[in-house]
Amino acid sequence: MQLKIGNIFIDDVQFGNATEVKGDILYVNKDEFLAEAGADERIASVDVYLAKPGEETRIIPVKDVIEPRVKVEGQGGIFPGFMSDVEQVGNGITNVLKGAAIVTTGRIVGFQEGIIDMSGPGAEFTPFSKTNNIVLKVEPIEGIGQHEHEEIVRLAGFRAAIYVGKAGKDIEPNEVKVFETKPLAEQINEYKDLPKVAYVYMLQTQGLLHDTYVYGVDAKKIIPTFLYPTEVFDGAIVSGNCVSACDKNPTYVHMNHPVIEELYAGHGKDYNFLGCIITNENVTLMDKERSSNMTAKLVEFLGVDAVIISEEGFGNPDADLVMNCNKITKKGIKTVLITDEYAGQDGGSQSLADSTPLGDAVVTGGNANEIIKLPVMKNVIGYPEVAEVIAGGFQGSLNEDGSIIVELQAITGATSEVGYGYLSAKTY
Amino acid sequence: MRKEIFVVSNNRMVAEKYQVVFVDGNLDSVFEKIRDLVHQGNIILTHPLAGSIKPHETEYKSVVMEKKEGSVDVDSLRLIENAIETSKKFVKPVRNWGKEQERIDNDLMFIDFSLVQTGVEGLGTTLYKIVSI
Repeated sequence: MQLKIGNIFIDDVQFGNATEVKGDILYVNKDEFLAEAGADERIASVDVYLAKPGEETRIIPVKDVIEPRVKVEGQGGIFPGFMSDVEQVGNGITNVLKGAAIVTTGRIVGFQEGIIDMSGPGAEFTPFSKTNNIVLKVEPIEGIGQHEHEEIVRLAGFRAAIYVGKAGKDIEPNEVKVFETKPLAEQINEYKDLPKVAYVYMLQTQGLLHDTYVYGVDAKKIIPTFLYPTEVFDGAIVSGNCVSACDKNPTYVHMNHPVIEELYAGHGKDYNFLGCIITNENVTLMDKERSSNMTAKLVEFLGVDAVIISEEGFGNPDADLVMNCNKITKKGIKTVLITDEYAGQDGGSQSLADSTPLGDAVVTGGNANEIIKLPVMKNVIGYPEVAEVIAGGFQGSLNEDGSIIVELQAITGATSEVGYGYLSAKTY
Repeated sequence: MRKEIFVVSNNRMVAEKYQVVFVDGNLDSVFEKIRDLVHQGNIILTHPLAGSIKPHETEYKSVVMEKKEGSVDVDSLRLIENAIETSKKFVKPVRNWGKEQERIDNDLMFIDFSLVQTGVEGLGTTLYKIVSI
């Protein structure tokens, strides 16, 4: 399975007469965009705003971030199972409007979280302060329940991304990256002297506002399975997860998966990257046992020497992380875990809700309880009234001057558990 | 014979749908009740920290347990003790939701309901049946 990713660099986004790319500027026809994004009889109104890097703009509450992509060659379409049929994706050529993003905002449940600041201290904690954001605000018709509301906003975001992505179809990309994974036996043979590695890719799947989809299937109903890594670059995995802004994986992150990209970077040089095993994070211990057993079995079956395991979320998924680690390690396979921490505001408490002595190689995405002060912003896109009641806030969060003090968990992507962020550690 | 399960909850919305051991109190009271039940031999079937809404962002909590008597299930005890420890490290936000209070309360109850429903459906009816205790 080979996929060429053609990156078209976008430095600015503006409204224009047609939706097109000219040079490094993406123009969006506002009326057409709204008509496409709003094409659902369950939507009462849609609106669109632009938010660019460096502006004094806050987007709140952010539901999802999606990258505009388009298939140029190869089977299937972007977001299989949602925006196209369920043909296998991950091969051929996919063009990307690199530097642009669709951000959805919606008021799905009463409590809200997910902040993107385009400048100031908050901007340093979210990768989406560096993208030119096309912000889609969606209001459903009266009488829509929370499950359906989440779905409506999610699908509107995908339609918007597909619509915008098409502008890149006939554009010559600025750079082309080639990613290839061969069928197992062939792949093992290609670099047979290198250590074999795989990626255990855990997906948040607990229920309302906590779901992830694979080729349109609710991932809490899957048995762990194998994916060619390139499938995710075409949107095979999408986020329906609206909770835990700091460490959820927005759809954009699935499409730009940093662990997969990094594993490809060393593929054929330092190790032989065989592929991804996706698994879920359900609420019952029976599901956890079943999924971790299946995951460990698949890892063993692939015959790898080591795996990277990343979790999504906090608390309940810590148990899945630990089970995956234990069961895979006991098969004699090395593990490296990626997580983030809820170590209290002073960083002094235990970081995870579960632990294992076998988890002896762990990478952290940072402490989500750490405090940050966000200054007043000139523009607020979305629902400014919820700034007073964001998750990660606490008594005294909202200052008289309008600035807010929150924990990092309120900021979209701040402590990414796949490393799609800016937090790092330095030694002096 | 199917295993007998029950729900421990402080959520009215859950109590309307399932027979529950109702706890009239906050999150910590639910966890304490579960710990007592674990010490009596009952087993935890759904993770006490299910849901990414952090402890005290929501006080609603529902957990499915298996009815059992006898020796303490060590895994269940570890789970609930870890959950209690985790809950302690989250600051309790003091919020006045004002006129939004009822709506937000309902939303938080609904999310908890959805999570426990996912759990009950995940367990299925082949191996388990819900009972009252």
